[in-house]
Amino acid sequence: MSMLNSYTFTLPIDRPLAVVYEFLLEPRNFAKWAFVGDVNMKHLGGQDWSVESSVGPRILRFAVRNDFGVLDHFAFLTPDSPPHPIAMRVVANGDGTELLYTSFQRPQMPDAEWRSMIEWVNTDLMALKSLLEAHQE
Amino acid sequence: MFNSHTFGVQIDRPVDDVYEFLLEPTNFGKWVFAGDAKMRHVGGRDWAVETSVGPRIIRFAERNSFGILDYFALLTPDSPPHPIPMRVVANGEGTELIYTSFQRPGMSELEWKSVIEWVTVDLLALKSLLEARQE
Repeated sequence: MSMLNSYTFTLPIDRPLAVVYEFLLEPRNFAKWAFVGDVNMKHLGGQDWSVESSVGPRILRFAVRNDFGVLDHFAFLTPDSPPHPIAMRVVANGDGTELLYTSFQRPQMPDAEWRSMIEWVNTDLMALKSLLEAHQE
Repeated sequence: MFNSHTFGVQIDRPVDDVYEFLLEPTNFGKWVFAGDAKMRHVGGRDWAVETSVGPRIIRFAERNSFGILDYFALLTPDSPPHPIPMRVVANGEGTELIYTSFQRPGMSELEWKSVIEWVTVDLLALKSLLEARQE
């Protein structure tokens, strides 16, 4: 069976679950932490946004609100390309939040690029944690 | 907040198969606690489980469309439920299982390390069981 390499990050965030969930559910907030915060976003319709980033254009399909803290999103290189899943979820960790984020190695992505991507995602998630923990309302 | 450990396990079986297997409480005894658990239905999604580390009540997840299989462990019916977030997502034609353990309040560091080792063994047993079970 064909499977992809994967990497799951787990990140405790010292903010209430509902606060983290609402922040991440809003597509506009994506640009505040992903791709080192260097992103221009344009709404295409529904849950789809076009994203101009340092690694080129992407279309992102964001999650719809649900009761499970699921924040899965999908990345497309072009509107017709197959969606690439990013599994993301928040769960309660005591009074705070645990963020679970799974990246998959794209088919044909070289291993060096995959390792680099894991480092980038790690940086992004640390930025997200710092942003949310500093963001006391 | 509590210390946590998240496992990502690749299972070479379709996500629907893995989900259905894990959703069924009676399958729980086949892979946890080294497959050595006796189970009795208490009501609803609650099951009493006799294990090598003592009795537990396990509250299983309801069916949903997100692959969520979170369950809760209770030492007694009145004790606070301890959450175990578990989820399956598609990985190509196979499955990625994502499982998070939290260190219980009052649990020693040594005991916590031991829990992580036990869960590692259980999840590998689950993987082997499912991958061997070609229907």
